[in-house]
Order: sequence, then structure tokens, then C-alpha cells
Amino acid sequence: MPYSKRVNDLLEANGLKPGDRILVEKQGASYEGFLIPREEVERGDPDCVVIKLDSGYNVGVRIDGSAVVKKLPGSIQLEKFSHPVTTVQDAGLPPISIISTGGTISSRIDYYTGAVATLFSPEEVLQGVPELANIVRIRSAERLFNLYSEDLSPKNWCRLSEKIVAKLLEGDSGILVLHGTDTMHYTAAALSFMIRDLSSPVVLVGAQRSTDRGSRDTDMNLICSSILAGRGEVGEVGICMHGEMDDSYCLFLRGTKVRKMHTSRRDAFRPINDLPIAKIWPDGRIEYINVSVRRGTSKPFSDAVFEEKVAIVKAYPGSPPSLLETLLDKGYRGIVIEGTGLGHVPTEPEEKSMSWLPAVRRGVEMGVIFAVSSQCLYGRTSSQVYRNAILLSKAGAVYLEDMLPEVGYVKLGWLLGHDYDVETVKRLLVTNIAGEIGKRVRADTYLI
Amino acid sequence: MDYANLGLKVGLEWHQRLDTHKLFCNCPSEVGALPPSMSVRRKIRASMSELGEFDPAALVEHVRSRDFTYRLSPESACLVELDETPPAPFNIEAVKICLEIALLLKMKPVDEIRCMRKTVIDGSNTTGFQRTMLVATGTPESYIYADGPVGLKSVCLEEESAFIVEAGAEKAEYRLDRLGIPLVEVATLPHITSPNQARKVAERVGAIMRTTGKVQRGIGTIRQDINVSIRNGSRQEIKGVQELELIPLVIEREVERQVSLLKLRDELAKRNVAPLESKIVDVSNVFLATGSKVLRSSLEKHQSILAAKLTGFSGLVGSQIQPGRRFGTELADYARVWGGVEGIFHSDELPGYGITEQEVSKVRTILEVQTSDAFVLVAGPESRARAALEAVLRRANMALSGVPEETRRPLSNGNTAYMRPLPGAARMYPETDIPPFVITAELLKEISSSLPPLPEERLEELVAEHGLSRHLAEQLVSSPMMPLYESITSSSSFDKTIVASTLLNTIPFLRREGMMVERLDAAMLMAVFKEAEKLNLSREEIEEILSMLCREDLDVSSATKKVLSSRMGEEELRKYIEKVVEQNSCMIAEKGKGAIKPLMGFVMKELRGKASGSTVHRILTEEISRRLGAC
Repeated sequence: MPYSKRVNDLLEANGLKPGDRILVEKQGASYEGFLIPREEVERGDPDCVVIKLDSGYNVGVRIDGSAVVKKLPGSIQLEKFSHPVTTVQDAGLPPISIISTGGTISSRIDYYTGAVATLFSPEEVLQGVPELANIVRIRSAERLFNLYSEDLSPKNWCRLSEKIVAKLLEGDSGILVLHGTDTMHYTAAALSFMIRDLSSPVVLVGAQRSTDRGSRDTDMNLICSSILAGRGEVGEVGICMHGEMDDSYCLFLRGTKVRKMHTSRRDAFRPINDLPIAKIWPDGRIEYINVSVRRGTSKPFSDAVFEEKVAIVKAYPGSPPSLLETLLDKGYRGIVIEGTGLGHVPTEPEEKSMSWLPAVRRGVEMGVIFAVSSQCLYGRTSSQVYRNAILLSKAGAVYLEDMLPEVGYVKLGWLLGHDYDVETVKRLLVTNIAGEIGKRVRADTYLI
Repeated sequence: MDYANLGLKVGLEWHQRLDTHKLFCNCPSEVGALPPSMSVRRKIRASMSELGEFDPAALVEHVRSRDFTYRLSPESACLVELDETPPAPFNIEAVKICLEIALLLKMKPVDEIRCMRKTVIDGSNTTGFQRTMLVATGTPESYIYADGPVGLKSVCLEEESAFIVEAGAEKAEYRLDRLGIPLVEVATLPHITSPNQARKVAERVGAIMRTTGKVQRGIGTIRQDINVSIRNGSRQEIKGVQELELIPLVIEREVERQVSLLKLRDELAKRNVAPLESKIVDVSNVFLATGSKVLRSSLEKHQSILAAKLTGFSGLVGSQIQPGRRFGTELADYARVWGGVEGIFHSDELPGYGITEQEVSKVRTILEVQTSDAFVLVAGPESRARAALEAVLRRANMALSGVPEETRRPLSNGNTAYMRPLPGAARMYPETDIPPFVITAELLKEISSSLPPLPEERLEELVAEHGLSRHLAEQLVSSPMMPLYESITSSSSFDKTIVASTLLNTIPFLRREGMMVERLDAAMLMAVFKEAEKLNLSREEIEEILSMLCREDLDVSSATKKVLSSRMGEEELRKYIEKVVEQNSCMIAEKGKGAIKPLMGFVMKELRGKASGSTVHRILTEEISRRLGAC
């Protein structure tokens, strides 16, 4: 517990450890309660002991020359989680498996210290959301890893793909993947490509609010996700989260057409250049809006490969071609460009040395694949309209239609993980595999 | 009442809004200024760790919560209030104001403030918790002296809850403009032993908070909670007493209530009444042709009429426990809170309300009611009527042991009504989104070196420099009107005594006359005194203008013109004064010039602002002199 050395020594000398009852008297005031450890990451004053008073308030009391510290009889157990009650599950309900990768949705906090611990067994999930017992039978629940999603890597995606396929082959009606929200859309895209011949729903679900609070979005997200995983007539990978700020319904969003668009709102995930696949209400109703693949009987298999030497580079005024050069020098095989507007990069700036074209040409010659998306996110790229785009395309860059930059990165990395030649990769990049390329440019998919 | 003998113990708690932006965001701390243009619907789920204590069958019911609708204007509430973004580090200005108040109260600030989350599941906080933090604690030096020392316990800084618009059994509606406004919470120890002492303590603490000049003014910006218990009674938390004057009355009535409930307990013991069985019977059939409007309308809606026997309670349900309230009223409160029904009927008041003797007799037979028993009837949807009666039986059983601990709300006549059971220690856990705040020696020095003068110091200033009478000054420093008085007198040189007495006496007088004094906001009052200064208005003219502003939708300048234009012309005035002088000729003969003062008072009162004081004085003096000269 990160108290200062001086305070640590004093506590030890008095035989005090976290959870013990303590009395500190100082300048006329007295503070009696239970000793609480300080947070792991340094904040505030390490010379202050944290005491939980009987009123429930925590208080920080600086231990200086005027303070007298005493150990009192009694103590509490910190980080004690209540044991869930075992529940009987209804064999008549559709079986699903839950796989946890970490994130806020998988955690809970200790009420004394505020420290975060992960939970994880089917009983623990049911304990928090007892309604699930009336919706699905949780056949298995596993913690695959325990990472904040910003710490995930493509290797994790590959393991996840294999695990999901294995579970589906055991007979699940659908899969729930508990995931941190930050990069959930990357994982969703990766699974969309890696899991082939999918014919059941694979639902990624997360939490935007901490699970300790009464207003948590987790519960409705899990309820709607389970409804869809159990009996949704869909055979696709998607994300299921709140559709609006109200606790009204969730949206199931195609894994290759979804993005986290707000840092914190519970309806942060929005479909980009596409309609939602379905709308699900916690009372069980499902409204199908835009299903590409229906639930079926095909047996899925995992094609989980990834070339890690793929990067995303954002173009912006003044961005130097050295951003690309450095990657080329490091042996990168694929670069997804987040271009401006319809898919543009600095091409004919005043300072000629700032043009990206020479670097692209050099890379193409080395066999590196350049794929162009737009940082506008919404809308379709075009290599035909403006001269700069035509030049970039002629230099060998592939335009990614209406694919999100993040999805472009995942697709390119996945394709390059195979033993394909450059031309094949380029061809497959613009071939619709998992709904990542829209056939039409709908008028009703902007900012929805 | 011999409060000492009764072992009366009272503790007070104040929640005062601070005059700064919201505690965890930059939204303004304004209530009711803007109409809500957005709304969001939510449910609040039960806490995860608490769920471990429930059996699974009960779990679903327990987690199901009411539908909450939150309305807001995006100008006065943001994503923080909607629980859609993490809170900002708290408003330092608010902390400083709390520290100022703590130091003025001679309390000891903590070294490190740690923000907590206090679980709240009634929907009044969108997150399901209230953020609150301990800022200072009491020492033996921290007390208010009023008929003896009353110790102070703590000063906390917390966020105000959402404003309840409507609440029912299935759903509730709140407004978010109020959510997040910083509140300073000051609590005493239960050292107060009389209703009057409570009032003095409340006045004093209120005055100290207001002397900082940094707390909000107006109705609803301060709420007082009163904790009351007597020996053998139990602690009641009476929440939300807004007027100072109501405090002693609420305490007196509460003592009366507890004494009555103890008498009720004793009477039940004398009658050897045993704990009641929870037997609820459907008696809808008895009332199929009833003349009672309430019962008939229930049956038409296919609801049920249920009844339960209160063995041994005959005559006691109708017994008075507070003026205008009976034990039956307490039972009705429980029925309302727990069942969401409108009310109950009980045998001590029947037949009546359209319910006939025959119907009563039939119910008696069905329930096997003896002459020493009472019964209660409830009408409503079956499950709610049942929940209501179960609550009634629970409350009746509690009467056997005395006074249950409750949270109650004050009524305007000083009585109180049941709100909910006294909460157990609320779950409080660390608010980890807010870093701990260290109160440094420098910060304390900065604040203690610029503390505002205490009310008694201001008192001397008012007497010496403003020329107010000591009596008026004493009233003023403890009044919520003090900050407004200071604003007005600092920007105008109008007669300060008139300003003070208008604020302290005229406005309450108008309120008692039934005028809507709420319309007189600070800006209006300042404008009135500006006009007063410009036109040299009299006290009576000011009263007329204020009265007109309460009654009519005018701005200050128009109201002033209207009042002055109905002034009497000099000729008419002279004729009137001549008559007055004539009628009072004896007094004038007796007192000579000494008659001017009383007659001035009389004439000004009669004219009600229709003439200026100086004009009246001039004419009256002339007329009286003329008469005296004539004699």
C-alpha cells in the first residue's frame, strides 16, 4: 500500500495493517475507524492515512509530529466478495457460451478500497443479471484473458477466433464475448474476417459505465445480447450496446461497419455507412433491419492469421512522407492511409519534398500494399474525381470503397497473414467478404 | 411540556446551496430557470454486492426498478448529470466556501478530502449514488452557544439531487437542473434539548453561512433536517423543513406525537393486545351496490376491496396523536407509501363516507371482529391493496412496542407524515473517478486570513455605521435578508432603516396578507429602492409599490408611476387634512404641536401611499399651526 516509508514504518511499529481499527488524535480532532490502503497509482499525499469512519466517510489524516496513532481492537476483511448462489439453469433455453477478454464489463470493485477486481463465472454473471436465467442457458463461461482493450493485440484476436469456433462446434446457439469498449470494434472486424462460414450470432458486448453503479448499462446490454445470441436469426459477428441514452433498446451492429464514436456515452457505438442489423428490446422483441447472413447450419472454421507489420497512418496538412518512409525502412508490408476527404494525401504541396507520392511509389515497388480510406469515416472514397486521387491510385494505392480505416487495417493485416501474392491481396481488399464494403451509398446512414 | 423530563434530544442538519457553478461540471447552479427540452428514460439496478444476500427467487423482483424519466435543458445540465461522462475534478470554489464556513464554526478541516459514492436507489441521482465528501469534523471547540453549548459534528460538501416532479408506484419523473448543485451540509450533535433552542441554533448557523456572502438565496436554497427523540421514544429524521419559524413547532408536535404513541403502546399493553396476524380478506362482494364513490369507482375498474382485522385496537385507530392527525392517519401513510393506494378506511370512522352500517356489519362478520377490535379497508389493484394492508398491519404491530424509527416529512402546520423507514448505514464507497484533494497549510492560511466578519461583528457595524436601531440590526444579521440588504445599501444611499424594515417587516406582512411575495426577486427589490432613492418615496409608497408588483404583471418603473399617479392632488389633500384636523381638534388643543406625530401616522396609514410623507407633513403642520394660531 503506497504510504510513504515514514508512515509505513509507523503503522508497522503499531502493528497496524489495512483493515485494522485505528484511532488518530491530532490537534483536538479524533478520527476512529478502519485503516484503508492508499490507491496503487500515486495521487494525493502519501503521508495521509486513509481511515473509513463509522459514518461511512473516508478521510485522509496527515501523520505529522502532532498526530498520535493507536491500534484498537477489531478489524474488517477487505476485498471480500460475496459468494454467488448456485442457480439451476433451464435446459429448455438456447445454450450459449460466454467468453471474457476483460474490460469494465468483466470487473467489479471492492467497496472499501475502490480497487478493481475481475469477476468471472456463469454464476457470477447470473448473480448480477438474474433475468438471463429466463433467456438462455449459459453452457460455459471462460476468462480467455483479462486485458483492458487498449492493451489487446492481433494475437489476442487469433486466440479468440479459435476459442469461439471451438465453442460453436460444441453446439452453442450463439456466443457472447465480454470486451472492453475502446477497441471492441477492431476485434469485431477481426472476428468477422477470421471466422469463416459463420451461421450463428457472435455478439461482442461491453460496458460504458462501471458495474458498481445502479445506472450501469451492462445489464441491459447483457440481456439484449443474450436474447440475440440465443435465438437471433442472424449468422454474423456484431456489437450489441445501447442504441440511445435511454435504457430502451440495444442495437446489433455489423462487426465491419461499427465504431466507438464517443468517449463515454452508453450509446457510443454507431453504425458507419450502414444500418444496424437489428434492434433488440430487453422484453425480448427483436426487429430485424438489415441482416446479411441468416442463422443456418454451416459449420464454422477459424482462419486466424495476421501480419503484424501493418500500420495506419493519418494524412494531415504538413504531414511528412517520412511517416511512410520510416515504416518502409522497418519492413512494413501494408499501410492503411487515413486520407482526407475522398481519400487524399499531400500530393502537390508548395514544398515539393512534402509530397507523399514518391514514398508510395517506392513502397509499391518494394511490394508494399497501400490501402486508402478516409478520416471522414462517413462516405465513400473515390480514386476518380480529383487529380491527386487519380495520381495516388496510379501510383499503386488501392481505394477501400466505404470501409472504415480501422476495418481496413484489420482486413489488410488478415489478408497479408495468408500466403497470397500482392495482386491477390489487392483484389481481395476490394472484394466484399464480411459486409465491410457497402453495395450502395444509402441516404439514411449518416450520423445515425 | 417538560422537555428535560421527557429526555428530548434534537440534532439539526442543514443543506445549503452554494453560490457557484455545479460541483462536478461547469453547468450553472440554477433551478427552474429554463424549460426542459430533452428527456432520457432509465432504470436503476440493485448493487452487485448486495445481490449476494438475496435468494435467487427474490432476485428478479428485487432488481426490477421503476421507470425513471429525467428531463433537462442542455443549458443547465450536461452529460455529467446524465451519467454519460465522468465527473470533472470538483469545483475548488465550492471547497473553499465550505472551508470558510468550517473555520467560522471553529471546526477542524481534514487533511485530505476523499470523495465518496453513497448509494441512492430512488432515482434522484442518475448514477444510482450521490457524491459526497467530508470536509471538516468537530472538536471540543466547535459548538454553537444558544441556551447552552450545542456541539457541531461535521461539515460535508456534496451534490444536490435531481428535482422530483412526480413519483408513483411504477415510475417517477425528475428534472436535472438541480442535480449537481454544490451543497454544504452542516450537522450538530444531538445536544439540543428544547424547541426554542433549536430555532436559535438554526438562526445562528444560517447567519454564519450567509455571512460568507457565497451561499445561494431564496426559497428552497436551504433545507433543514431535524432529528428528534425522547426517552423511550425513538429517533425520527424529519427531512426538509424550509422555514426557520417552523422548526420549534415541528419539534413540539413531534414530541407530542411520540408521547401519544407511547400512551397508545401502554393502552395496547393494558388491553393485552397480541401481535396481529397477517390475515387479509377480499370483501369486494360486500360493496357491490355501495353508495361510497371511492369504493364504487374502484370496483368499476375491476380493483379489489380488501380488509384486515386489528385485534384489540377498537377506538385507538381514531385516537389523536397530533392536532389534526390520528393513529389512522399514520396507517394511511404506510398504505400510501408501500402500496401506492390513495388511503384507507378504518372502523373508528365508519359508518361514513358513503359506507353504511349494514356494510360495516357485514365486514365485521366476515372478519370475525369483536367489539374490542378495529378493522381497516383498502381499495385498489389487488397486489397493491394487499401490499398496503400488509404495511398497515406492520405499522400496527410496531405500535405494540412504541415508536418506530422513521424518516418523516414536515407539513405546513408543524405535523409530520411518514416518508420511509430510517435508512441503515448507507453503503458508501470511494469515488475513484475523483482524485483525493489535499488541504494544504497554504490553502488554510489563504482562507483564514480573509474570513468574513461574524454576524455579531456585522451587528455593531450596522448600528454604528448604518444608523439602524439595535433591535432592527439584531433582526437583520440573523435574517436570510441580510445579503440582500447589503446589496441594496451598497449601491444606493436611500434611508437604510426603511430598507431594513421593508425587508424584515413589510414583506412578511404582505405575505401574511396573502400576496405572492415570491414575485419580488432580488433584482426587483433593488430596482424598487433605486426608484425610492430617485423619487424620495415614503415607506408607505414603497409598500404600495411592492403590493402592486405582487398583484400585477408590471415592471418596477410602471408600478411606481401607477402608485404615484394615484396620489392625491394638493388641493384634495388639504381638504382631507382639514377634515382630520377638525375631527381631532381636542387632541390638538391638548398636545399642540405634539399632535403632529400621531396624526402623521394616522393620515399616512389612511392615505396608503396616495401622498408623499413630506407633503403630508408640510400640510398637516400648516393646518395644525393654523388651528393653534386660531385658538
